[in-house]
Parts: sequence; C-alpha cells; structure tokens
Amino acid sequence: MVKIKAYIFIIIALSLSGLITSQAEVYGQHQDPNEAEDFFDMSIEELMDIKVSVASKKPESPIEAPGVVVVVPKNEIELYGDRDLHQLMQRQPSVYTGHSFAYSDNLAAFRGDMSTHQERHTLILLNGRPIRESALGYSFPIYMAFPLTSLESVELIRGPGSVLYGTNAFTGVINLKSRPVPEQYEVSVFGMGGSHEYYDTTVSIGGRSGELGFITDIRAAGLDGYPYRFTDQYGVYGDDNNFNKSISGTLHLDYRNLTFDLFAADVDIFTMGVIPAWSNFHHESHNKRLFANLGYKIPLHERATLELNATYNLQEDILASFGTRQVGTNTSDILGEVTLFTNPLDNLNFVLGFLQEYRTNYKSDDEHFQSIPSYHYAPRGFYAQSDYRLSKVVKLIAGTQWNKSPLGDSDFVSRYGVILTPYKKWGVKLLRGEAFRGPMAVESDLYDPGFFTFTGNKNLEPETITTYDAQLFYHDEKSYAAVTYFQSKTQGMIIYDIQGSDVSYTNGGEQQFDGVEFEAKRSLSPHFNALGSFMYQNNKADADLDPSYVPENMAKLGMDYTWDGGSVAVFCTHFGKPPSVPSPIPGNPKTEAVSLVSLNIRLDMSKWLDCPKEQAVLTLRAENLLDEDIYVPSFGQGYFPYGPGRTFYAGLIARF
Amino acid sequence: MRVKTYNLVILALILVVAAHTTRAESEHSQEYKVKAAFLYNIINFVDWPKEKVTDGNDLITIGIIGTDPFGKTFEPLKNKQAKGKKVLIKRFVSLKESEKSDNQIQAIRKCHLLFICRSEKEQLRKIINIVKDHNVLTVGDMNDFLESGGIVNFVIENQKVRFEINNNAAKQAKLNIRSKLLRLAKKVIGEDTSDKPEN
Repeated sequence: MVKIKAYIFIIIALSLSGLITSQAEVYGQHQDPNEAEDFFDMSIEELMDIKVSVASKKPESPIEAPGVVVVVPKNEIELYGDRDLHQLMQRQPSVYTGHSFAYSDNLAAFRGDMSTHQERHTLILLNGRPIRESALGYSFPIYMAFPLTSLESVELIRGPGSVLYGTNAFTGVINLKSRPVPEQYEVSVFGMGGSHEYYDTTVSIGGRSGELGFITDIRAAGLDGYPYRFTDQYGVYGDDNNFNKSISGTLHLDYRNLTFDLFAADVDIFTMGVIPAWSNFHHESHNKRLFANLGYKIPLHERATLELNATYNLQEDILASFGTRQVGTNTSDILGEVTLFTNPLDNLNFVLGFLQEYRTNYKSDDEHFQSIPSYHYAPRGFYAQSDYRLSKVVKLIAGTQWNKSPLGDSDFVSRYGVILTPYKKWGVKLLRGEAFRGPMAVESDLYDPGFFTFTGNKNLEPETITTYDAQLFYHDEKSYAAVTYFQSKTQGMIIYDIQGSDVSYTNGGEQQFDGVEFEAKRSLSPHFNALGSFMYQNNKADADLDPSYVPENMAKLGMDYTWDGGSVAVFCTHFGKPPSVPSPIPGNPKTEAVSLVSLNIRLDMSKWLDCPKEQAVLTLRAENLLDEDIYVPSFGQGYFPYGPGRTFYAGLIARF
Repeated sequence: MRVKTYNLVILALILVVAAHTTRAESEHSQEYKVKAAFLYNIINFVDWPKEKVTDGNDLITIGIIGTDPFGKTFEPLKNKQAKGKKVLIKRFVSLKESEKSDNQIQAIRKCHLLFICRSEKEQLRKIINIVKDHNVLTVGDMNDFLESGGIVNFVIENQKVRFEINNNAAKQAKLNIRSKLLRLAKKVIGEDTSDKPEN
C-alpha cells in the first residue's frame, strides 16, 4: 500500500473540498428539493422516525461524526442476543476478539492493532466518561461483566480518539450509553442458563419521582467452566476448568442538571497467571472495579453549556504469580474535567476543555504482594475541537489536545478532516488523527522479584499513533454502507525488555498497518434485515517488535427476521488465519481460520400467557454452531485454547 | 517539551476560526426542519373553537416569537394548506418589542399556533398569560415548558424528535387535541377526553 505523506493528504483534502464545493454550489442551484419540503409531506409517524443532529450538543449521527463510527442500538443487541460486551464486540466491523493466558475475554482489537496480550489501546466510556484505571489499563471486567440491559446503545469509534478522550483512546473508543429513564416505574427480571452451568440473572429497575430519575441494573453471572487443556513451555500438560463468575451493577441518576453514573464489578476468573505454567499454585484471578462520575451541566446561554465532571476509578486486582505467590495492584484515580460546549452559529460547534487527574495506588488489607510500590501522578490536559459546516456540502473538523503524561512528558496530539456530502445520499470523509497511550504504572513502577524479576522503567515515553482514514459512505432510509481505507503508524510501542531473568519495559520501534474495511446495513423488507462487514489489513513492524497477530482478513454477516410474535437472528463471524508465532511448545494446536456462527430466537409469550406485548420474552440461543476448536496466538508463548465448542442457552425476561 | 509545528498550526486555526468567523449563509439544522414539519402536521390534530377559525380570515396563522431558529424552513408552506386554509407565518422579534404596540399583542393573540423560542424563556409565563384566553396552541422546545402552562413541548430522545402534551392547558385554552396525537405523545399531562372523530 502507498504511504501518504501528511502534506499530500492536506493538498488532496483541500483540493477536493474546493472542487466539490464549487461544483456542488452549481449543483445546488439546480438541485431538487429543498429537503424541508420533503418533511412537510411526511406524516407525524414518519417524522418521528427521522434522526436529527442536534446543533447544540456533541452527539451526532454517524454520518456527521468526525470519525469512523458504528452505533449498535439496543434492539440489535437483543436481536442477536449478545450475552456480554465482548460478544457484542466480536460482531463489529474490523474488531478481532480473543483472550490471553492471563485474563479471559480481555482482547478486542481494532483493525490491525494487537501486538501484545495486554490490550490497552481501546478506551471504554460510560456516557462519555472514561472507565480507566492507572495501574494495569485492562478492560476485561467491563467486557465480561457490564450489564448490557442498562444500555440504549453502544457507539464504537475506529481510529484515534485522544484529542477528546486522552490516553488509551489509541485505535478505538467504545462509548456505552445508558438507556433513558422511564417516566413510569419499570421492573424487569432476566434469567438465563446454559452449557457448562452458565447462569445470568439480571434485575433492572427504573423510574422517575418528581425531578429525580434513576435506572439500575444488577447482574450475577458466571459459568462453572469449559475444559482448558494445553502443554505449557515446561512441557507439562495440564487440564483445568476455564470458569468465571461476576457480580456487577450500574446506576444512573439524573436530577435537574445533575447526573450520576456508577459501575461496579466483582469478577473471579480462571487464569494461568503472569507466566502460563501449570506449576503455579494459583489459577484464579480476582478483580474489583468501581467507576463513579458526577456531572453537572450549567446552561450559560442557549448556545453555550458548561459541563463539570468528577470521575473516580478504583481497581483491586489479584493475579496468580510464580509458585504460590499472588500479586495485587490497587489503584484509586480521580479525574476532574471542565468542558465548554458552544455553537456560536448554527453551522459552528466548538468544544474547549481542561482535565486534571490524580493517580495513586494503595495497599489493601489482603496479604498479597503489592507488585507496584506506592506512586502518585498528576497528569493534565487541555483540548479544543471545532467543527464548521462551510456549506451544505462541506464540513470541516479540527481539534487538538495538549497533555502532560504521568512521567512528565508533554506533547500535542491533533485531528483534522473534512466531511463532504455533495449528494443527498453519498458522502466522503477524509480524516487524520493522532493519539497517545501514556505508560501504565505497571510499566513504569513495577517491582516484582522472583524467578523472573519484573521492574518498571520511569523513562518510558508515551506510545503514539497517526491514522489516516478515507471513507466513502452511502445512506438512505433503508440502508447504510461505507468503504474505508485506513493507514496507521505507531511509534515508541512499550514492549518487554528481557535481559536474562530480568524483565523490564522499553519504548520499541514502529509498527504500520493499513487496509480496507467495508460495512453495510440494509433493511431488506419490513421484517428482514441484514448487516455485514469485511476487513483486509496488512501489517509490518520493526525488528524489535512482535508483529500484530490480527488475521489479515475477517468477515462478519448477520441476518434477522422479525414478526409480531418474535424474531430469529443468525450471525457469522469469520476470522482468517492469524500469523504464525514462534512457539516453545510444539504440541499445542495452532490457530486456524475460524467461523463462529450463532443463532438467537426470541419468542413473545404474551399470547400464551395472556399478558401485554413484550411483557414476557423467551430466548433460545446457540453459539459456535459449527463446533469449531479455537486457539489464539500469543507471541513468545505459543497457542492457547479459547472458548468452548458448541453451546446452548435458554432465558426468559419478565417485565412488570 | 516536544511540540509538533503542525499541531500549533491546528490550534491557531481553531482560534482564528472561532474568533473571526463571518456569518456565512447558514444552513438551519435538520432538527428545526423536522420540528417545522411537526408544527404543520399538529394543526390537523387540533380543533379550535368555531369563532377562532371563522373570523373572516381564510388563514391558519403560525406565530414565532423570539430568536427564530427555523430560518427559511417554512417557505414550502406557501403552496400548502392545513384544514383547508392557507398557512401564514408571522414572526415577532420578542415579547419586549411586541409590548411596545397593542397591535403586536393583538396579532400574537390572533395566532392559531404560537411557537415560543428558547430566547424567550425568561418571558415564557408572561407570554402564556397573554394568550391564555385567546385559544392559542402554545408550542415550545425547552425545559419546564409544560409546567409553565405551555401545551406542546418538543424533546429530543435518541436523536429523534418527540413531543409532550399538557392536555389540561389545552382544555383551558378551549382547544381539543385529538386522541391520535395524544397517543403518539411521549408524555401527556391531563386526561384524554377527546370526543371528536379521528382524521
């Protein structure tokens, strides 16, 4: 693939915008209609179905958003029956999911970016606020335990997001958006059971009392475990149950201009530990997460709103280490942020913000070796972003964030681009974005002596990435399709520095990945819908880096049929064969291409139970229908089993 | 401190654009195009007292008071009718300006539908009080609109336009809102006692 230098990209973008603007202004004079006239011919029901971009707020439709965005609405989550966020991610365009020997279901990588078994390049937000802790940077408790019943939609942004969201928004951002507060009290109970003693019980409550609105979802889920068998690097063949269990919950409150969000999870999982060896005494990990955000909106003017947010993230993690040891890391981080949203003109939006974070860790009462000595860091950042609709056809975007990392480095990252919509249904996005990932405390401050001595490196600099996206999109009342060429270059990747039995971290070289992705959704008839995606990517890395082990290609296809009494949905995720990795263990099966097919049937029981529509819904689900054996690669370690074979589940939701 | 030159250029450009942007001919947002269409549609689901619709004018008047967010959105209505009558759009800069002239206040009271813009939020109760005995359907899109005595309020939910209805206020204004519209509303304050046939 051809490298595009920055200045050439700018010249192309400006030339195109100038050319298309001049053509489209001529076109506009002859262009039919006035879109408003079309609206006057619509009925109220049809008008209620139109999505609008609200000029005074940041949320935008995917067409208008300054990024490559996919929105997964609640009804799609229910149709396809995603049991957790990791399953939802597996269905999304250009996302490769897997897990490492250290944590289950912890990897959801965007495009070609997965060169370590610790995924720290995707930032997860809850209602726009980061769920991010400073020691390890892992998201697996959220992937596994976040109650999807609490959500109205999930927004996925492919590409750099650091201008607005800071560190870890490297190749992807996931924004979990809470469902709206119901005006009348609502209670629902969901129960599901399935293969390998799987269980999931979720209670959802919501309502409004005067000006106070709330929704809460409490979930208990887990499974006894599927067989986890492989030969470790010491030649020992072992067998255990890959189990997990979790209790989690969310709470969303709103009172006038105040909002409060809470997410808490207590997760126990099977793990091989810091090094995958059957000789380790412990094969379980325990993780507690607490996220809380208090937000306050101050309307300054009908065109300006000030938002104040205080975000708290806590984590307590216990991971199996060598021999009989377990290591603990406990963090407590506070982030204060002030953001000004303005639209001084109908065609101009402007966001200005400042954030200050305080990161620290603490020793818990448990008698676990604290592998990260005490630290205190205070990173801060300042950001600004603007989008300006130059004409009916051209929208310009520009933004920048200045940040000071925990270790004292400061730098700017920027994004800019243009969205061209010369025709009613077609458009082009040309985007350039930068992002960074500051070192986590485990990389800068770690001290874990043992057979291998792990130490941090306080001289680490942030990883950086520059991404170009060129997207052609089409949309009408029934469909959306887009083809995107992307090109990313990462620098200064934080990698292991192994000197004998001493293991530390260092900034490594460059990695480049580029490729093409195609995605589409289409309503084929009032009852029949389809969606799908395809990605091809190409990767290369400097000699000191492990290349990414995302497959060169992946394809996903889903179809659903709905009728008055229920729905049937089938989804197939195909991951091509990942690159071969050197393996110290020749006996374990290698990763091959896999096709994961799931079937989800929902039946409305209202007719049989003589109750209102949708008050009782039965779900029947089957996963990995082709009974594929799945292994995932891990550089330096070989291949590890991932996922059970074919599984079945049945569930019921009752609403009161 | 490492500073990439182009990042500074981007920051400078943002500040320049923000400070010196001239008022280009702006495209009014899709949100208000949809709301304008809603206003036109709602007329067909509301019954005014006989004396209001047979006052000698063969017109249905939509009034807009405050900083107008609709722009040229209503232009297509030149060729359309509602309830068999032509639709006339009348704009009032603000209540403060209108109070300078009795004719302006009378003109506001003669509107069949009055959209109260957000810029008039501080004057909201006063405006509603001025029109309350004159069979005017008051419509807005701001917080506490219904609680202040307004009849229809637009809200945005999941990027789609929805509306709420204060049927008590409608009855006080001697307006009958048809049950079909009440059923489509996100929230209704007051009972549905509509006894008129559906469209």
